[in-house]
Amino acid sequence: MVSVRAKTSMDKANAKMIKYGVRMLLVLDDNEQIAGLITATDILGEKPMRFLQNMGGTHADIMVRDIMTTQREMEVLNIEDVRKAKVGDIVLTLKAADRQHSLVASTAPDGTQSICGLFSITQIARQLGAQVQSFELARTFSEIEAVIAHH
Amino acid sequence: MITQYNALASAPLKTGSSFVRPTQSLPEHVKLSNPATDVMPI
Repeated sequence: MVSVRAKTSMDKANAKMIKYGVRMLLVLDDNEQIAGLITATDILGEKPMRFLQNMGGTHADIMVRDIMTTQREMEVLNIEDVRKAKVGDIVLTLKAADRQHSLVASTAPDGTQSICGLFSITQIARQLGAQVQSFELARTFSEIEAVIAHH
Repeated sequence: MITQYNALASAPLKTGSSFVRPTQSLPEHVKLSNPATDVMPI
C-alpha cells in the first residue's frame, strides 16, 4: 500500500500513483495517522476544478488534503470478516458499493484501528484472468463476469 | 457463479487510525472460491 502526506501537492501525488502503478494512495497526517485517501479519479475528475472555483489559485497550488476523501468519510471492512470470506464475496462487496477499492482494518483490544489491507477491483480482475482494458468500473465488472462464465 | 457469494458489511474508519505494512506476495491466478486474502495486497 502506497501512502502520501496530506500536504503533498496533487501533482506529486499523481506522479507517485504513476510511479507505483496504483490508482489510490493512503493519506497520512504528520502523526502517521490516516487523514484520508486520494484516488486517480479525485485528481483527474472535477474536484480540482471545483476547488479552484471556490478557493482560487492555480492547479499547482492544489494539495492532496484539498481534494481527498477524508478519514471521516472512509469506510472499511473488518479483517475478521475478510479472513472468513472468499474472493467472490469481495467482488460482490465492491460491486454492491460501486467502488474500485475497499480498505480493510484490524481493531486492537483497546479499540484502535489499523489499516491492514486493500482490495482493488483491477488487481482482482487481473488475478482472475480478466483482460482489464480500462479503469471504467462497470467495464471491469463485465470483464470479470465474462471470465467467470468461462470457468 | 457470483450469486452464491455475499457482500461484506463496511463500517466507518475510526479517528486516529494508523496503518501497518506487512509484506505479502499474492498468487498470480485465483478463482472466486479462493480465500479473500489471496487478493489483498498490503
